[in-house]
Amino acid sequence: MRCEQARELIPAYLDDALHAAGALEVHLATCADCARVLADYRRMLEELRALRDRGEEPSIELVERILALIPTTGIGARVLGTRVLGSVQAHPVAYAVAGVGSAVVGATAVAAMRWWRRRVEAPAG
Amino acid sequence: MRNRVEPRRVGPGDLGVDRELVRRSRRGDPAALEELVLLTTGRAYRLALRIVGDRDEAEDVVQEAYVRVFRALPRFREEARFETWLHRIVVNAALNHLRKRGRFGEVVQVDDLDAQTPDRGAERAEDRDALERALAALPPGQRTAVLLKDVYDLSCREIGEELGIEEGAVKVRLHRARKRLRALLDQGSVDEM
Repeated sequence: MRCEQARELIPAYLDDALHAAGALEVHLATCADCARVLADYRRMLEELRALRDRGEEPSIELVERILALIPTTGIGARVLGTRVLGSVQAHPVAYAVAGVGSAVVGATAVAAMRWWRRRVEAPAG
Repeated sequence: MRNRVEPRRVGPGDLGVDRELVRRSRRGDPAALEELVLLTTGRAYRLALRIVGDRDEAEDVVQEAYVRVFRALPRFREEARFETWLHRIVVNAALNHLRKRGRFGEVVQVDDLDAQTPDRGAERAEDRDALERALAALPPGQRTAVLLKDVYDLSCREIGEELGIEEGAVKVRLHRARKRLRALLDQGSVDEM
């Protein structure tokens, strides 16, 4: 591999996005200039990442406005609601079977109570 | 009465938003939510400012983003990284803001150096170091790719979804942008000699 080819590939190599990195790695192991170029790129990426903490701070007023937006109630209840809904969506058959089962048990219980009441209330003889 | 309104200054790397803090925030614990805001507003604001290039507009974007965060927090999966999730919401709010003002095209322009839109933060160029100046000199489409991937850690797939372009196109922009940025920095260090 020639140096020009290696330098074309280095920006993608930084993300492990290169399918055939073997030839480039062989070249980097034997070419000090290209290895230095790779080191410069890596240093640049570190400096870019550090930019997220460099620059202007938000104003105190903005932070106060955001703090004032914090909901005092409701998030916990919505988390519970989301969990219940998510569980139903994840196991629809189980919830359907449980629902039908509950209905059958309920209906049987009501029928048994009615039967028992009729028996108790029926005139003797 | 709140007495802590200063956003925290933190070092590079994680902000210290751990799972326990996110869990308490999802339960609606006001102290945890306050802590979460103080830890994250600095990076969120700088991200918005770097996209929209105007302090007042960046403040509107960040405020809108936190409204969405508080609303969507119950749906946040705790195993995901909170900061990446927040940054994506800020990016989405910032791009919507640019769309409403007819400026979305600025951030997706690629390579056309003649038609290059100047970085709207360029008036503060004297405050910047060589890297920020080189970043500001990139065509907007390339600058956006580097900003979102290399500074704020969104994936190429997420960037493609936000910009409405293919993941492969994001990678091409990113690799070109890195090459141009490296060249600008090398050129700058020669100029300074």
